[in-house]
Amino acid sequence: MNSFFKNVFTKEDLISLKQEISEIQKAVFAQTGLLSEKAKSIAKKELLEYILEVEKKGGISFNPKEQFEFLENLKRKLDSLPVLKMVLAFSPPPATIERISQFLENELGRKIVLDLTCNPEIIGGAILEYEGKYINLSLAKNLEKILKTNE
Amino acid sequence: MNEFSKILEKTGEIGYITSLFHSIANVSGLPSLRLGEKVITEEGEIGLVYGIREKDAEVLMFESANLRTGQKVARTGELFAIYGGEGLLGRVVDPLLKPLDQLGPIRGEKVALSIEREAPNIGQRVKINRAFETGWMIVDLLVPLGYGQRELVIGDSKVGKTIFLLDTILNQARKGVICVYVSIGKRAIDVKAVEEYLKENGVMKSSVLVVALANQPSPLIFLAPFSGMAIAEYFRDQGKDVVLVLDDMTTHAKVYREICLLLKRSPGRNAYPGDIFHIHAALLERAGNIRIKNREVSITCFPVGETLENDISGYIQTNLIGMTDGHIFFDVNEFRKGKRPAINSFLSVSRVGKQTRKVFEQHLANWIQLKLGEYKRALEIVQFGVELPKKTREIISLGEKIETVLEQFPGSPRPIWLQLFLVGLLRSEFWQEKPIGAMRKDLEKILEAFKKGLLFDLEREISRIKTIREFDQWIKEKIPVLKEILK
Repeated sequence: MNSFFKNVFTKEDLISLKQEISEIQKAVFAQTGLLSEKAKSIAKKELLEYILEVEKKGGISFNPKEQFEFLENLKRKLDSLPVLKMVLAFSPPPATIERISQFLENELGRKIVLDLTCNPEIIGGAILEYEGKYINLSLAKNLEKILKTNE
Repeated sequence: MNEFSKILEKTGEIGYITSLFHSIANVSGLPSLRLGEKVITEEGEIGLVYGIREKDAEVLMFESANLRTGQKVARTGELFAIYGGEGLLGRVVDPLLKPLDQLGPIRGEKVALSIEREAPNIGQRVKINRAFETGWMIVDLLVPLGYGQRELVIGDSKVGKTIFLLDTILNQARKGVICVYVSIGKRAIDVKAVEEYLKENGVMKSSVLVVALANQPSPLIFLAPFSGMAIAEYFRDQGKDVVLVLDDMTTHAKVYREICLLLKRSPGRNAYPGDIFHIHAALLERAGNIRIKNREVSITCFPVGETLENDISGYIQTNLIGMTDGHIFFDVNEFRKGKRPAINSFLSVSRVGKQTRKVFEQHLANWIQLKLGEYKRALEIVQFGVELPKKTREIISLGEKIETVLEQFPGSPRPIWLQLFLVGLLRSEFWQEKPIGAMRKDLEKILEAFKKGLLFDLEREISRIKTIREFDQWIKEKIPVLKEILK
């Protein structure tokens, strides 16, 4: 089964997807019928495909209450995704973000959402925070270390 | 790089304040956090980890001005400690040992003082065997104390508890004992009065004042007695006797109750948390008389308990009575009758102090207690307005004279030998024929002579006495000398 958060790489993507789901939730009680019908004009391709796939397997009923709860579960699933905070010296282009995300997913075996911040003061490298762990791999820190040893 | 960044680099763990309530923060992240660990926020505020749950930790923050949710928090990897040393003497500090007295930073070498140190074990402890003088006759004679004793001072507010403790500090500081006074949740004006009293009497240089004011964050007030004990332990480990006053523990219990209710801990009796007894008992257990390098050193601790209209049956009050080696009870009824000090010797207890006194001293104390008991019973008969027999009149007269001798005002501590001498005069019926007014004048002259140093020979002579017979004989020999002084 396709994952509805396949294209979620950053925290911004995550927030945007959650907003999308909230919009569908608003439409759930306005009309009757299948959830995919109600979401057609609101949801993006991946989410719509996911809803259709679940509907095909009989995972969503016609009952609006159950449809709402299904969407609520999607939001909860998104909230449970682990977040890696990353401070970089530059704003990475989408392709780089995707590559980093793919790399992390392959290394850790789970989907990771990136919370990216740009801080030119670190000069290069990155500062990472993941599940309470903190590691400073910045160039600024290394330079400071070198300067201190040379003093 | 600031301190926060350095600590963050060192420990490699970061957390965030997820919620704040008063000075209690919930912090997420920090996977290896331990109970009792010190944490620091990016603004430099420090906190103590007081509880760890599945997803976050409860942290008591000691400063709350700059706290906000989302703030970064780093663990220090160290158990919470305060930093102090010899430079604390003569200073007024807060429970984190930051100076409050405008005298600049604390000077000298500083060492880490653990706030939750283990109490000395059985092997280190020594029987309490050295007499502790407060300078107040009624206590030294009827509720005798020893170095290393934990004696609760209990009574209503404004009945003279603090002044008794300050006089005790005065008396002990003059003997070279280090005194630590911890003010817990009091008004600034009250603390100022304590500081000025110690300064005026020249004992501030051997004292430390630890102050947590009523308007400060509750975790800071909660920390105060632990800081005081840590300072006392530091000086004790240096081989010095220490007096520690915790003024007062009922306020401390209330502050701890507030913290625990905010932390949503289950409330027990009177809404106090279930571990209130343990918290106080574990703290007081750290006082005592111990042996370090073949030398006896002690922390004599005076926790203070406040009552309401003499009710000593309250939860915290009975807890404190249960975990100390006795209590000195300040009776508000006696205070209203004008008795000074307003100590009720019949309701006061010293469980270990008597063993520090000589046999004849104990004999004298028993005699006073007996005579005072007879006097109180006789006073009950007087209420009925009956004509009193001669013996009862004598009992009342002696009782009044004993109370007159025991009457003492702040700032006039009496050494134990002078106290014994005065009791000896009562026993020898020196004042039997004199009215109270004349006796008072005699007393004033004796105290005047003591201040002038005319009676110091008595100290040497009294130290040689072993039995009550020898004592009575010695008093008889001294009466002619005394009459010369009183002329």
